[in-house]
Amino acid sequence: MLQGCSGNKTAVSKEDLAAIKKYDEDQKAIEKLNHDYPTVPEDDKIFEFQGQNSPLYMELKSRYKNDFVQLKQEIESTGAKMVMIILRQPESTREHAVLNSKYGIPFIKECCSQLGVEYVDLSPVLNIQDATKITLVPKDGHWNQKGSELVASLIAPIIKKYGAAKSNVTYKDNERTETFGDLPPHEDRILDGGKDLPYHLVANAQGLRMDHDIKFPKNKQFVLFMGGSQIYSPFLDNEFIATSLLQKQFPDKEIMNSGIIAATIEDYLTLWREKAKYSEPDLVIIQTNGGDITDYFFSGRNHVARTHKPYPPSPVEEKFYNTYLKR
Amino acid sequence: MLFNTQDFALFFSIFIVVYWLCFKWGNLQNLILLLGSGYFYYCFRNSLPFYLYSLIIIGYFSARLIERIEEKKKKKLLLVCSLILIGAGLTYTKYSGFLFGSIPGLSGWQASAMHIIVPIGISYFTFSSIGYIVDVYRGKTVVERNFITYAAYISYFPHILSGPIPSSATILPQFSRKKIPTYSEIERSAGEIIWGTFKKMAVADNMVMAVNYCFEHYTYLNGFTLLLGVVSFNLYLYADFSGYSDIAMAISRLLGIELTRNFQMPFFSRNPAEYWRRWHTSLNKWMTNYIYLPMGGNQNNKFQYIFLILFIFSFSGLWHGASYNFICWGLLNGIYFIPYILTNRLVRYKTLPSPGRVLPTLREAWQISLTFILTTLTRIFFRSPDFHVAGVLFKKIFSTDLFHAPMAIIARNLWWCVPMIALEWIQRERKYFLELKTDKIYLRMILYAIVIFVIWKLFPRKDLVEYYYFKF
Repeated sequence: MLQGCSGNKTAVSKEDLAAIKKYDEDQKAIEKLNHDYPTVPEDDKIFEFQGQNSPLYMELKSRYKNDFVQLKQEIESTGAKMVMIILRQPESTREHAVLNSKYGIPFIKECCSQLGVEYVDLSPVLNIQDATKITLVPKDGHWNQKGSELVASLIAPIIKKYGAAKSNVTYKDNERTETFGDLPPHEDRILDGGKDLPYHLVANAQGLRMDHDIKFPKNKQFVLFMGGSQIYSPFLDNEFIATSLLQKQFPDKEIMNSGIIAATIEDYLTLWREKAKYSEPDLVIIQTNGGDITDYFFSGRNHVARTHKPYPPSPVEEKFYNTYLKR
Repeated sequence: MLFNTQDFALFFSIFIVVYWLCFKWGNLQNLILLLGSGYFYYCFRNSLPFYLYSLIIIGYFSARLIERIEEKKKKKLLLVCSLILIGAGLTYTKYSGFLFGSIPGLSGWQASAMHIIVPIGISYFTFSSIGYIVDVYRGKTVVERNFITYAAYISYFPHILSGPIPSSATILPQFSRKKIPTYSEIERSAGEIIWGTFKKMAVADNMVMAVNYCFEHYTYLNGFTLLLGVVSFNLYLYADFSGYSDIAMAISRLLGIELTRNFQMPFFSRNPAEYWRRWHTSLNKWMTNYIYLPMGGNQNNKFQYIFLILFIFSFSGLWHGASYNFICWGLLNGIYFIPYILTNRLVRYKTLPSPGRVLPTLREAWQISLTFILTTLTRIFFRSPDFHVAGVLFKKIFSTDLFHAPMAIIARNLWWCVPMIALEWIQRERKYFLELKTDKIYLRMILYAIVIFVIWKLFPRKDLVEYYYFKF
């Protein structure tokens, strides 16, 4: 018996060691890549030298689509409804990302149509707003309280529309992961993102940006938001972010915010696989925009991807980097 | 190149070795100081070395001329001209926006004046220069004939950015000698650098975010939370500024120059007068020597005395920043003196509270608490960006809004400064806060190592936060 235990322990330990070794190797590889390819191109840089039909943009779009397809399949396999929202701050706050939206949004819509995923494009409404009224410009382009209220009001009809959506998957307590989001559980801090815009970040026990914990078994509809900083909402206290406002509006539902700063579809896919699916959402609202396509550029991924694995450049990326970005 | 950075550590390590090696040649040390200070100052954004050295040249030759002229009237005229010339840069860069905004018809000029860059440290080196020239005029200090020595004194890097504002009578003569510290001075300096770093990196840098949060979100925070935010700001400011001053003084001692102690446990003061003798001492000494005493000081009748106090504090407010908020901050501090003056209770304490005792007496505890609360409330004007914000804060704090539970994270923020206050209280009668009365060097080293470990563990590891007083 003792031997068995001991043997078992040794086996686990070896696996852990191998994982640690792999992680260390990956970190070194990322470090080297970041050293060799330090520049992350601004959103529109990719179009500055080559148009929307360049081999590079085609490649990035194909990565986006691949992950999108997988994410769609995996979410819908649980019976949950998936809806894409195209959401970004007004164009006037993003001088470097105009082409990004111009070329990216039609492609995203095309993907959604092809795959039969419902999408709602919020950008026409947001683009006509006075950015100084709904964002934190000039300090930052993310939502202020009014912007957040506006975003919540635009999303509310989607939640209403899919009030009957229901997942058919349940997990036992011992199957479920401890966290569903990437924030440290029970996080309670004041941050300012280096922009002198302090805000109070609270995460629940499950690493989601919300003030209360999710209870199982479910007794109401669960709505999971996945997205980047537009969903996470930096520089606003929890009570003012769109998902909290929606929670107040829909007390009969559980509104979960798993937003991650600087994330793209690949990050949502891995988050879904590793953690988010265990929250048993009935409706999954995914925020995206044109930037999510260009965010697939390898040097950006090496800096911010949540997988923490190395992203070596493809031949097309390397050529672009060496031609236009190398200093 | 903040004091608490690797860049500064590298700069200072090289600098001190070269400086000490030249300890036999005081003039050469001054030249090294001048070059090192120039490099240090140049490393900061918003530094204006050209302006600094112009001011040094003006100050040097003005003092030489004032010394040479015998006739009193001409001497005075030259003094006034020199002061105008030296003060013009400070007035133009720091106050033109405020002045234009205050004069009807010139508000159009205000917008362009707002874009003027205020050179870092200008308030300090301008006041140092003014102090020197006035001292020469009064015959309280001997004119410095060696230009390098004078330039090294004004641009001296330990005090150029945030003081202490030097007194030429006590500091300048130290530049004229060979400078090398003793072992005990080196150890004391090390202790003060560690303690200053602790206050900056383990206390102030951890508190600053919650303080900023309170002043940013004052509209929806309740009165109690805001009160705690203001208390946090006062404690944060002390940790930040006194931490800087401790390090500046210690670095200077390593260079063989003993600066004025800028903070002497102000939070243990028993009345506002004692508080202001212990907080930013060098500025208050400057105000006393060059404004308060020449205008009669407390030898005036009570009415004149009160008026003078109010004037001095308003001036002090204006020194901090060109806004009505700072003037109000100063005025309110001055107003606190009035009941003490009218009731003849403005005691000039000569010792710290409760010498030799663990705890203060009840009377002292009451006096200390009252002084702390009063001075803390003035910080509302000091930290708020404008009158409106200050008004909202006062309104919320002095209303039923005060009787709500505070935000836990803001209340918790105060814990950061408990070890600092506790240790300073316990060690209040020592030369420096980390001083251990033991001959065993290893015990002292263990204490230093523990504090360094605590700094390393507690430092929030985010972008470096500039010292608050750099903006003045």
